[in-house]
Amino acid sequence: MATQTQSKAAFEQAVIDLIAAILERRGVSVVVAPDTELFEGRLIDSVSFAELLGAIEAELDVEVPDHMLSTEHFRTPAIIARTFAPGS
Amino acid sequence: MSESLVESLSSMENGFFANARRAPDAIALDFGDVRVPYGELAERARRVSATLAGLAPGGGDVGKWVGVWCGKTVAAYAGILGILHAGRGYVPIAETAPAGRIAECLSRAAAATLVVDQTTLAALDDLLALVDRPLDVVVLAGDEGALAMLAARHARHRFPVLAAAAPDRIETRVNRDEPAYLMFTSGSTGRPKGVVVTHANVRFFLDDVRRHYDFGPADRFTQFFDFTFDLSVFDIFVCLEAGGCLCPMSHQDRLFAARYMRRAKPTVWFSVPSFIHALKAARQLKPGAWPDLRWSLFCGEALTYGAARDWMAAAPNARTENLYGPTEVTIACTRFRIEPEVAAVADTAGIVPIGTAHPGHICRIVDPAGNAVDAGATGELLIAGPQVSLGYLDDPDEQRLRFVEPPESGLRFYRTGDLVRLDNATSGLCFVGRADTQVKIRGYRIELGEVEVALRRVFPGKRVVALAVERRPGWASLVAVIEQTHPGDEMAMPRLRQQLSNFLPDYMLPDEFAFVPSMPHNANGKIDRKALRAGLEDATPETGSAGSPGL
Repeated sequence: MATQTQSKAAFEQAVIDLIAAILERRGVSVVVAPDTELFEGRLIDSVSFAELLGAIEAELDVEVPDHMLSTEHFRTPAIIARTFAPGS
Repeated sequence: MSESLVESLSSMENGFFANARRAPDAIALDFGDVRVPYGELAERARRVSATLAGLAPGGGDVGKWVGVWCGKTVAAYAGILGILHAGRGYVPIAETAPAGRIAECLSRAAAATLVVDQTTLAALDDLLALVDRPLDVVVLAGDEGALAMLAARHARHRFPVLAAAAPDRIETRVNRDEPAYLMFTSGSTGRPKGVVVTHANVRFFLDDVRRHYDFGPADRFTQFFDFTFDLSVFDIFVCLEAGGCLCPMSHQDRLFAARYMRRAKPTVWFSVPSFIHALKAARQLKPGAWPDLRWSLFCGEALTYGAARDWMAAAPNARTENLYGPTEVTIACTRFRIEPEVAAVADTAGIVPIGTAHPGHICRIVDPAGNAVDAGATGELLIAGPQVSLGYLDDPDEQRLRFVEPPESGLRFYRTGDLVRLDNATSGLCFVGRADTQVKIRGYRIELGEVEVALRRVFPGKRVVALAVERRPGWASLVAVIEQTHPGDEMAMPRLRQQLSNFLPDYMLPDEFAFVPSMPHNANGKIDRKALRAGLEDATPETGSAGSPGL
């Protein structure tokens, strides 16, 4: 149980790092927290969302099924981690 | 709508009000969670008209223009319709525009009134402090507490309350030659250009649309474009005049378009071509996914056959057209029907023609001296006809340069700055490129000079260049190149975009920043933009490519 909690925390951190890297490349300086609202203030746009989707699948080795491509599953890093972390 | 009624329409909003009287219960706006019938939208628009009628405008053009600083809300659509119905013209302002730029545009338009909604209310405090001229600020929707606080803080401005009710019918006679909207587009000197378009310009466009397409009350239209982009005039007014239902796309709808399509079930799609690439990259574009689409229309930038094919596979039952038109010639003035069998065999990177001009318009293709080029040769496109707008608000030099009346022609042409050639196979016009440094990034028209002016303000004394670099066919990124004379200058990068956003609207912010030790020069000693671009196109973007606030 402890390992799973730990790995979930690590997954969430990995998601945060991916998002921060994408935003930094755009020259957007924000501190990304677990509950940062990604779709507010147009933080994530359609191009960076496509990048994020690709990065989650390639670098975190998870598969995002098409029917889960919607706002509610990607609203914050914490929600992304909760939805897509292995063992979720 | 009956033929006789349409023929009698004189202003661009008449069709909507006629539909609202005829079928008040039909749905005009569908946001998914909120649906607004024609009757209710018309009532809200009349309340805006009544409020504006109660504000005495100044003499002459003073007070003619009303700024609209709103998101895609019910209040905003009612605001635009109400402003036009009151015989005033609207000036759309981007939600995220820097306050200084908004204040400048309001001042140049001598706008005496600004309407806002809940989207922009919070940012109003900063703006009002910058506006010297007393403004009437009408809050169309939003918290009344916030309004009271603003009124207390900004004694210079007035805050008239939106009329609680409106007469069933307001008799207004809008002269066809009256300006209907003023749109600011990028200007090469760093000063946005204001384009003034009349009701007659838009009426001609709407009448042509009515003859060419078969839109009707059963149609559901996408509303992709921001109000600051004149293609939004197509979305709103073509739909509401046809009696159709307008389905506004929020920022999130653009990210998850497949879900928007399931909810909104549009029958008419209209967007910029680069949105096709964005959808494909986010796995939102699947063959056969959208069988209900009857029409797919694209405008705003070059459309490749590869993108058109991807789209046509997703919307197999739609007729697909590529439209073209500068803001100065009102929304769109040429069109080209893409036949599936032609698209199927076309080169993926090939550019779809922009086709032929709307009836009543005359196109000329000329060399730099203004003489007609030989058949099939490339030249600048000049357009004359009833959609050619009044021109620029306050730029007589640019007006003389762009709106020309060759003596022998008896016609007034707009010089588009677009290089085209006539294609023998389709007898349509083909877009080849630009005669200047204007570029299209995700459909947004951007003068590179304006981006460079802003870059110089952030990097005083440095040499800077803005470039459009094609990262993939049909997908250009805006790249800022800054000469890095001292090591460590690039450290400023994370904040660069933020600093630039003090001067530029978000669609003009560079997607990538490149720091170079020195600028390459050409034989004339000028910065060699071609060499810079070639170097950037070869390099994998280490700085990454991202950022499309518009999409």
